Amino acid sequence: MMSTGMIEHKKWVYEIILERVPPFSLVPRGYNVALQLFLMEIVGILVAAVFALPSSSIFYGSIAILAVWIWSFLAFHIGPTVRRLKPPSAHLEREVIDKYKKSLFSPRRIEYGFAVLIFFFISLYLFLRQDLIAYWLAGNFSPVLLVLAGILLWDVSYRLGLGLWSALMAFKRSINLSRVSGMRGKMRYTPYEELRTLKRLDIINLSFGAVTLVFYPMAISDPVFFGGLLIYSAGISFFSAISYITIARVPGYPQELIWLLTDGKFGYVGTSDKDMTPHLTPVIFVFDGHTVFFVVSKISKKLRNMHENDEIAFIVDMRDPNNLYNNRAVLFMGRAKIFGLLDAVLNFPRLLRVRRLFNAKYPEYVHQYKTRRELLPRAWRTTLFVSRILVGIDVERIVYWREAGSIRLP
Amino acid sequence: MSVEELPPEISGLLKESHFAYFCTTDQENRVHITPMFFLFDEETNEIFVLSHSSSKKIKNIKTNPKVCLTVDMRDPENPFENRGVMVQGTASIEKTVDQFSVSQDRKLMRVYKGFHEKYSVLNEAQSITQVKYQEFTEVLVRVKAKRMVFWKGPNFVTVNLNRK
Repeated sequence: MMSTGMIEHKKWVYEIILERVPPFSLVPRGYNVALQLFLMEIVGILVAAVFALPSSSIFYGSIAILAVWIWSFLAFHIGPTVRRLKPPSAHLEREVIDKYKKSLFSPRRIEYGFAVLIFFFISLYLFLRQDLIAYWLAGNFSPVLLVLAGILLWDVSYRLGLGLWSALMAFKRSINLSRVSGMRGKMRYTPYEELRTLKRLDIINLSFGAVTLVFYPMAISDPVFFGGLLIYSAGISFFSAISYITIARVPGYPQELIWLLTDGKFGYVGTSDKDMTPHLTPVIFVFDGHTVFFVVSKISKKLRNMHENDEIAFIVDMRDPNNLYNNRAVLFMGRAKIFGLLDAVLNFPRLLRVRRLFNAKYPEYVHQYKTRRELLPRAWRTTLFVSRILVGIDVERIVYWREAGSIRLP
Repeated sequence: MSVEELPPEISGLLKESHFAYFCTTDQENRVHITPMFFLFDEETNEIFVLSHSSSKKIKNIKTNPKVCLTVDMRDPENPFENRGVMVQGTASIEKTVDQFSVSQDRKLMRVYKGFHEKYSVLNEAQSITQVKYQEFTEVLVRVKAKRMVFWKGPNFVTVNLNRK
């Protein structure tokens, strides 16, 4: 019988082994992976000593153990991170995330299928090309040695299968999430924080593929091996990169809020100095899908306040001229991120995009500022970094008002 | 108490606008803003807002009475035509609507009447919103201005009030 909360308890076999089987279960989480590496390496060195293997064999064995260790470490990150994902408030998006969780830890253990296939093909190839084993094991074909090498090969294959499965499922969830995010209700969405976690998972998957790089010294002399490794890492990189880019384009705010931030022409920035004197002025602003940006004069009180206290608030509202009560507003509370020259260099493409957004949103303003430049005091001129400073908001809390009621967003 | 004469641009703007943005801070100096209805009292240069007793701004005023209120007229085509006034001052929580509707405080009664006159057109037009108006407006807040900054385009005028 299925119990509720089954999803919470589903784990990969590998995780279960490390959590339940001594001696791994006896050490704290995080150390059990290290203990595993340590034990494997000890066994490896002992075996090498007993069979009088050359140092090259120890080196190749160690490479495999190192890769297994990094993979284990990554797998130990992926599992809990995926299980911690909070359900999006949009119904279809919640289904996508649920499905992602379920299939990643599917009881059908599809990652094993991949692992077995990979193990089978590598074994078959090694059987046909016995010189390769001979080379790695320095010509020693003792059955004990072959069995131990086989176990190590299985360890490697299992991680390769796991990595492939994780990357494929991430790819699928990103494509689906992006597709259904276009159908979300006005106030339904997947929080930005969760999207960031999904992107982090893609990076972990990408690293999973990158770890195969350590095998290249072993495979360089063999085109088939080399090709196989290349296809594997290129495949994982491809799926993870597409997944990342797709998720980066899913908006982490409700649709209605995005309209407000895109169509709203004026925002109000509230700051407060160290003596707790509030200060509030209108600004023009742009929203790039994740962050609100506005520009302040270098000599403004706002900027001085933000240097003293970076906790700021920003509000945008829309008014219905026929009904003053039918207004909607969004309030962001968070920290000001002031872009200095160094930040500008580091975030250059992003700043170019912000500049484009400003030009597109306020063409009249840009025109007026250009043609009537001589009327402007120096501090108002729009030369960025000389007299104007770009500020972004790292949002901590959002309040949304709609017709007198307010909705608090996480 | 003599009341300082405000420049006509400032008093004009405060009289003709229906919306103000009201800015407070909590005990950790985190800023909060809300759009609000307000009333400017020409005779005393004070600004009044109506709020709900359990609202964030009322809680904030209790810990830090320093507030800021901004009113502006925007021109989406020409930034040189934007004008506005920022009022910085101290807020005090006066009375709940129930209390001053029966009180003999003539000044507060006048303020309350002023609110009804300013927003009455809307009240009559929409009976549903009238209910909301009652629901969300039960505390009267008085803002004593210390400083007003007026701008039109890039030009600023600062007025300091209540100086001894």
